[in-house]
Amino acid sequence: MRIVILSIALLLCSVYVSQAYEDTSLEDDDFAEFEQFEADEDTPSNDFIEEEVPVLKAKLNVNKEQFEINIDADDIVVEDEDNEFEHFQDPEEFEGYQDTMPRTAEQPKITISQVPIMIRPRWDAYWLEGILCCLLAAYALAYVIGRAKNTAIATNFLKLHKPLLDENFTLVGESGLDVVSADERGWRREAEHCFTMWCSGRQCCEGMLLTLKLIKRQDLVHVLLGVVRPTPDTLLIRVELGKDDCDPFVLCIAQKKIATRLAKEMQDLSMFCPERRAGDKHGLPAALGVLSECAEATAGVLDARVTAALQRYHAHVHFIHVSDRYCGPKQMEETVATKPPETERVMLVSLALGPDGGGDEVRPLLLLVFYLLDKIKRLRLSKEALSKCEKRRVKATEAWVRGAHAARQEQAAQRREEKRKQEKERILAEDDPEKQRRWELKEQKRQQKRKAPKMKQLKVKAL
Amino acid sequence: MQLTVDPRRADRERRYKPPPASSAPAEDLTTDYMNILGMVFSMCGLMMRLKWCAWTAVFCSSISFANSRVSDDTKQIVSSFMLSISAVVMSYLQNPAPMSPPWAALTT
Repeated sequence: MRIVILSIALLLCSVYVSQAYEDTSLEDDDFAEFEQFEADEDTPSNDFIEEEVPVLKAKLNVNKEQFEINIDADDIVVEDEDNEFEHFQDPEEFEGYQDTMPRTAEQPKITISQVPIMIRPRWDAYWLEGILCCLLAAYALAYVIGRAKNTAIATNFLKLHKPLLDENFTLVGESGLDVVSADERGWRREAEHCFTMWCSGRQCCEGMLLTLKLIKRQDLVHVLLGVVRPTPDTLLIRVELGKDDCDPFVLCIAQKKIATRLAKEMQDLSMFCPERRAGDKHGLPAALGVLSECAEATAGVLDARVTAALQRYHAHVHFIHVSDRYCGPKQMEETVATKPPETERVMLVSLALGPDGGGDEVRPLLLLVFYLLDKIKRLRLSKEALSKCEKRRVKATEAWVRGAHAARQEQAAQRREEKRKQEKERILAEDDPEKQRRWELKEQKRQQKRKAPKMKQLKVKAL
Repeated sequence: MQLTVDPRRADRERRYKPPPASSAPAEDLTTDYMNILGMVFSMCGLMMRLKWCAWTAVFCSSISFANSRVSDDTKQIVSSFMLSISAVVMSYLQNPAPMSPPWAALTT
C-alpha cells in the first residue's frame, strides 16, 4: 500500500513539476527568441529612415541641378562615336525617371541581423516523454522496494516458523548461494514473489514442499490491480505421502467458490467426488464446502479438533485436498494420452496469509497440517468402504483404458487415411494411365466394401 | 494441537524432487505474454515509426522482467529490453519532434 502511495505521489509530483515548468516557460519564453531579432531589426530601420532620407533628398537636388545644366549644355556637346555610354547622358532616355526612382550614389545599408541558431532544443515540449520517463523511474523504484519487501516477508516467516519446522523435520530448507534466509538454510527464490522450501525426514510423509506465493509487490501494475481487487499472500503446502501413509480415498475441504473450481478442474476430484456438500453438514462453517469420495473417510478426518480449528481459522484456509490419485488439473482434450497419468499420494493445503506475510494464525494452521498427517496415517477404512473405493479405482482405470483404446484407434485411422492420401498423390503423379485406372478400380471396390452393410453369414443346415 | 512425541525420522529423509509438470499448478504466463507484446510493439515502433509503440514496448519489457522466474532464460529478457530501447532511440533519431498526446489529434 505504501508503495502505491509513494509511486502515485511521485507521479503527481512529476506531473506538477512538468506542468509548472511548462506554464512559466511557455507563457514567458514562447516568442523570446524572436524578441532579440525584432530588437535588432528595429534600430537599423530607424537609422535608415532618419539618416538616409536626408541624404537621398540632397542627392536628388544635386541630380536635378545637373540635369538642368545638361539641358543647357546640350547644344555644345559633341557626339563621340566611341562613347558607348552616351545614352546615359541623354536626358530623353530618362524621362520621368528621377520622379519615381530616387537614385543614390551609395547603396542602402543592409543589416543582416543575428538569427538565433537552435542549439538548445526546447525541452519543455517533451513533457509527455518526461512523464513516461518518470513512470519508468517509478516502476523501477517500486521494483526495488517490492522485491525487498517480499524478501523481508520470506525471511520473517522463516524466523517465526523455522523452530516449528525444525521440531518436525530433520531436513529443513535449501542450502546454496541463491538462498533467502537468516541462517545457512532457507527459501529458494523461484521468482521475486515466489519462494520454495523443501522439508523432509518426518514420520507419516516423504517430504513437504512449502511454496510462499506472495503478492507481486515488485510489479507496480499488479500492485495497482491489487488495490482494485485485493489478493492475499498464499502459502501452498504440498505433503508427499508414502505408500502406507494413507488409505485410498479422495477428500477436499475448500472455500465454496474454490471447491466449485477445483471440482471442475482437478482430475481426481471430478472423477471420484461428483457430489459437493455444504460444510455445515460436517460441523464446519457454511463458507466451506466438502468434496468427498467416502463418507467414512470424511468423518474420520474431520474430528472434533479439526472442526474446531477450521471453525476458528476457516478464513485463512483456501483448501485442504487429500488424494491418493492426484494427477493435477485435467489434461486438454487435444493431447491424446497414450499412457496412464502418473498419480501421487499427496495432501495439498493452501493458506491465505494475513497482511505482510501472516502473523499468529500461521502456527496453529501448520500444527493442523501436522495433526492431519498423523490422523491420515492412523485412519483405516472399513473393509466395505475400502472395497468400494478400490472398485471405483478399477472402474476408473478401465474407463481410462477404453478411452485410450478409442484414442489409439482414432490415431490409427488417421494414420491410414494419411497413408492413402499419399498413395493417391503418388499414383496421380505417375504418367502411366493403366496404373491409375487399376488403382481407381481398386479404390472403388474398397469403398463399396466399406459401404456395404456388415452381415454375418448364416449357415443353414439342410434338413 | 501440540505434539508430544518427536515425529522426526532421519531415515525417511528424501532429496528434493520437483513435482511432475502435469501436476504442477497453472504456470504464470505474464512473462511470456509481455515478452511477445514487447516484441510486437518494438517492431511496430521500428517499422512504422510510432513513438508510443516504442514506449509501450519498453513498459512491456519492464513488466516481463519484473515477473520473470529465476529459471527463465535471461537472454530473452535482455534481447526484449534491447529491442524496445533501440525502437525508442531509432524513432527519436529519425524524427526528434516530441510525441504528441493522443487527445491532441482530437482537438485539432
